[in-house]
Amino acid sequence: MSEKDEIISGLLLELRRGTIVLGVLCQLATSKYGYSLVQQLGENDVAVEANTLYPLLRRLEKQGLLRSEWETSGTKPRKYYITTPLGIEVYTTLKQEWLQMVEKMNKLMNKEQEDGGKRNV
Amino acid sequence: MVEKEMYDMEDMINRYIYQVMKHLSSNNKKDIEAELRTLISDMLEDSAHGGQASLENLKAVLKELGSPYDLSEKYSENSHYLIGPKIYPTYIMVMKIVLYATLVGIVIAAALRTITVSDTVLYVSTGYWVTDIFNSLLISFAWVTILFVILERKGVRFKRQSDEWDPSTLPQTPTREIEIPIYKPIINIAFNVFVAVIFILSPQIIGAYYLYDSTKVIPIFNLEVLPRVIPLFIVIIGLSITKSIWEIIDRKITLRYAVFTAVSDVIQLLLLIIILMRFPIWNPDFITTQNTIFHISSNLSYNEQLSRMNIIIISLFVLIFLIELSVKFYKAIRYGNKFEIL
Repeated sequence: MSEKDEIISGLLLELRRGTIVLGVLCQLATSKYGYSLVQQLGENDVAVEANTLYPLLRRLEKQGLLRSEWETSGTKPRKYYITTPLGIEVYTTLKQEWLQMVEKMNKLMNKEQEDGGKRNV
Repeated sequence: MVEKEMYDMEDMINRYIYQVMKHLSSNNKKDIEAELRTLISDMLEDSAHGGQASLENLKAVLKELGSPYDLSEKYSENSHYLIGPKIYPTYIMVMKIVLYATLVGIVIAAALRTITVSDTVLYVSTGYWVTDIFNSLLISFAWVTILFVILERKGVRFKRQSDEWDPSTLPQTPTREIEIPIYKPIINIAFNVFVAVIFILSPQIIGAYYLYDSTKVIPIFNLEVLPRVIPLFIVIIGLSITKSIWEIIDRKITLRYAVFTAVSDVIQLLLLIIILMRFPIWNPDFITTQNTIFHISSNLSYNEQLSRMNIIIISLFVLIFLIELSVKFYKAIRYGNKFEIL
């Protein structure tokens, strides 16, 4: 990997880190177990690795945004997660913030492009 | 064949999980383990596309999950730091100062021992002094490190690294009254190391020397009793050095500091009293010799003289303690930052 690629992948990782929480909270309105969530996010082109998602689920549960339950009636014991009322509240706020952020950033970057164009002339 | 492969796979999964759990410092290990087993099994099914999973599939799955160490680190709420990045800069700063101060103390002590040790040539030529220096640096290093490991475990964060702060609570730049100059703790550490080295390694050189015959010394201390008080003595020295480390970190007299030093001083005083009252640390020869030399013809018995000496020493220390304490508390309250009171 070239130095440029390394810088880009590092920055991308930082950019994506916060969005994963958003993705998880929006998907867990209905209860899911870890790997089904990995697959579902992957199908929606938001790939998250299991080794990132599983510890994250535990952290969010500890913060009270999720709660979990073991389901042992199937072939394998599975731990299902679902958002708590607090989690839903937090998600709603975060979502609004996110939409605003996207809008502001788009505006900023488009403006920069125009200005940049002028400067080059 | 197939059976063997299944056995190998089972074995590899167990080994992987064992390694993850080994590095994990969490109290819900069982839960994580169960979840991890199901996850691996799910991923295996997925990678075999409904068919029979092979050892190669398993290897690919485990590679995707990452090394056991990395995975357990992701699970750990507290990262695997002995001394974390938040207190690391302070740790290094304190370590440097303490090591320099130790070096000063030990070099002076070694020099003194070289002069007074009965076999100076042996002491210098066999490199005992190198061992002395090395040992004391090692002890200082360990002491500072242990202290910071405890601070890390307790989750102590020093003010300057605080994430959330209010500019109006910025501490006042210490006025001259409450500022502790950096040389004070350094001298104190050097002095403590010096005293510790002499007291523990060559207590025989503290004594009365004859002017006409420098090889003849009457030690002040009873050299047979002395080794028994060394553990108590080390605690006294350790507390004193801990106080200096606090001074290096904070550099000013606050109420918190005054309370801390008060507690530490009381412990030191109690230990001193225990040492003086419970152990016959004085050399009887020394006392009788003094009496002869200075023509003290006291009516007091030897024991009475001894307890009188102990009482004088203790009162002296109590006096110093009270004066220092009242000065510190006065300064802390009079000049200290209102926001920093406890």
